[in-house]
Amino acid sequence: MKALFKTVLATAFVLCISACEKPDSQVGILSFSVSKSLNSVLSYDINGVVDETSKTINLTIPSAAINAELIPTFTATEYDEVSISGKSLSSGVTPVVLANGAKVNVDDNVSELSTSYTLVVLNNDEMAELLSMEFKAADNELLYEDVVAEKIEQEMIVRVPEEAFMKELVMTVSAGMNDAIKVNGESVASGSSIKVDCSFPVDIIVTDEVAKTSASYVVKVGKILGLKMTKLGEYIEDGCSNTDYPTMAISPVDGLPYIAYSRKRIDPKDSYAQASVVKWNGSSFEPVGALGFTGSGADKAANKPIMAFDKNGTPHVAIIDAKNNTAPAVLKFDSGNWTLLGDAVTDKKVSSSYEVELVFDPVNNTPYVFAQGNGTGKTDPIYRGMLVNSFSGSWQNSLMQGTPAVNGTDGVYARSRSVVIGNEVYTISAFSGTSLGGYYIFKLSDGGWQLLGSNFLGQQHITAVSIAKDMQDNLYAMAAVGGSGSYEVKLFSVDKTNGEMSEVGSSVTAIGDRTFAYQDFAISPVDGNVVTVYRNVASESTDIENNTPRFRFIDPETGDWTSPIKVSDEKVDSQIYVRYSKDGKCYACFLDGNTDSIVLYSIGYEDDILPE
Amino acid sequence: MLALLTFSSCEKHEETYFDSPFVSIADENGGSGMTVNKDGNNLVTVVYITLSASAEKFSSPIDIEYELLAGDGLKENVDFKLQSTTKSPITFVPGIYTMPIRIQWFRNADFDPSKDNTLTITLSGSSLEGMTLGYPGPDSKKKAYTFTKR
Repeated sequence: MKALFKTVLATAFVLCISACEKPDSQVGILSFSVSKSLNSVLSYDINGVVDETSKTINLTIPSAAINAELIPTFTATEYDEVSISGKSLSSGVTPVVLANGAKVNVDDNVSELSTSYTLVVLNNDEMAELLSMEFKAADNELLYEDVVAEKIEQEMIVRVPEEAFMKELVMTVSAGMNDAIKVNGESVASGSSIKVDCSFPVDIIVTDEVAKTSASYVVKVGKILGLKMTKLGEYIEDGCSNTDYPTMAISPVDGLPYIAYSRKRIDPKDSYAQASVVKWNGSSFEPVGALGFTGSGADKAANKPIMAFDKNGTPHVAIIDAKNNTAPAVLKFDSGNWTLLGDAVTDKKVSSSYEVELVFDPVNNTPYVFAQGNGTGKTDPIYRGMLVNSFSGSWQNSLMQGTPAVNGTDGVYARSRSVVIGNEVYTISAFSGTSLGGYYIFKLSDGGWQLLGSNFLGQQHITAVSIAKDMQDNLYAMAAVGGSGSYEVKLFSVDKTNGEMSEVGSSVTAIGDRTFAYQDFAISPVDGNVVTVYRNVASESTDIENNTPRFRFIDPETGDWTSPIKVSDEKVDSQIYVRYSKDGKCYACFLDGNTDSIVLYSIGYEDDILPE
Repeated sequence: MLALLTFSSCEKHEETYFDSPFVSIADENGGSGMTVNKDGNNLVTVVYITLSASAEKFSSPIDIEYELLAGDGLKENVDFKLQSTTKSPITFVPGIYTMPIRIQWFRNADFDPSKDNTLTITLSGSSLEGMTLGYPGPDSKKKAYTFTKR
């Protein structure tokens, strides 16, 4: 009886339950999310978007969780069973990989109804990140090229030409995945542009709309800075007069300018000029070894000292040594003393009308001294030729290969300047003469000199030549070219294969037959700036502007020289030396004929002006 | 009985955190005022509005209002100009807690030192209910910033 009663009761229960499960005629997902409280890999809740039309569930999942097993929380219509890729899910319980394209199947347990959705999973980087900021030349007529932030960081400074400075410009920005951008409070789509007032800093805020993180940036638009010359100091050696022939080289060791010069002691009296070397230590001129180290008293002159450094950075000075048959001598600074290189001078007499040139082979450190040969006079084969002295254990000399055979006053060697490029040396040499005179380019490689080519034969002006390289090891020279009493000092690019000189930019200055073209130029190894300092030649010799120093640089905007800038009322009374150190500091040095002092300038950027 | 007496005194300690949002204004050195050189031209100065609010309270943008009051010696667009994109109200999106206000100063040949040449920025409102203007406390420090042109 009891058993029967239980059976009836159970049957009634089943009938009752089955009568309660009425089909709801619906099947589907109502909501789908992934909460951070159930998934430690998330830093925020992910709210999925269920689209019944496209039968998709859209989720944006951060990169770190893209392939992780996540526990979704979902609701569905009554009596539905939900599975993903065959795996049955309980909301808030079952972990599953939410892969892009996976099927979410929904089956109604009571009716025959079923449906499915496709997961559309988008990646999010969770970062609010500005990716690019630029002022495009195509959008800004005041710009000649795109101005782009070098690096995206919280505060960015970009520079524009003067005419665009403090003006309204069009800025283009882009940001990362799912990021919204506001520039000065206005929304800008990634990759789009907006006009901004650059007289103020520009504020950019980027918000990751999924992760709700933000980042702020500020852009300051400054002016492309020009260059200026600033006097560092002037120098006359104590107790001396007749300061002359300052020549400058930058030490590759300490980056400081070293200046060799000649002078005479007043008391006790030097009969002839002797050489000294000082360096600018950043605040004053400091002797390098003993001053007047080449002699004193009645010692014959040490003429036209040339400052140079060997490949190890050891200071050297070449002189025309009147004590020794007016032959070139080279002294090196070693352990605090100046001593003769090789303990000997060269043996051939040279002209003291022109300074020598001293350069070292960058490979084996062999010194080379170029000078105008004299020898025993007019019948000597080296007379007025380009004599090359070199030292490798002993001094050797010979005429430079490829130089013209001197014919009276034609083909006479005057002066040279050299530059080291890698393992090679390039030298420009000026020769006077109507047919054989000109600018000759030589190259030293593998221990041997060769003539690359000659230029402007008969059009040369021999009073000054310069040579330098740029950051890409291209070769440049500066010289005066013309004729019939009128010459233009110009910059030239030099072909390193054939020595051909090609004009770059317009004329630096004009000079005449009898004027000394004191000029030099240098190219920054850091930013490529090209600068020149030269002596102004006025049309009237009594003009107070005559012989005063001028400064110009290549304007990066135009690719040509800026207008001449008057440096001072000093009187340029020597060759000018302009040199850059390895870290981009530039110095200019010459003799001021008004005070007979050596003057030293730095060349650097003008004072900066930024909005704020 | 002893157990009851013992455990009745052991109440669960609850941490309470300072969660009263406030907004302040200062320059980059934290100062509340600066002197502006009357001879400076096109000189841009900046002060910052800074929010202090928990992430919970700062989950949607907050607008901060301020007033700009010039003394009788200063005239807008003659002595100074407000960067228009930093005018009131300033909107803070979640995650950004500091926003600038910039003033550009001009040289004015008619500058009169005997007049009131101050420009004061005073925080005046917030869209976040309960946000204190200036530092909490009776003195309302860092609620205002004053420029003095001299």
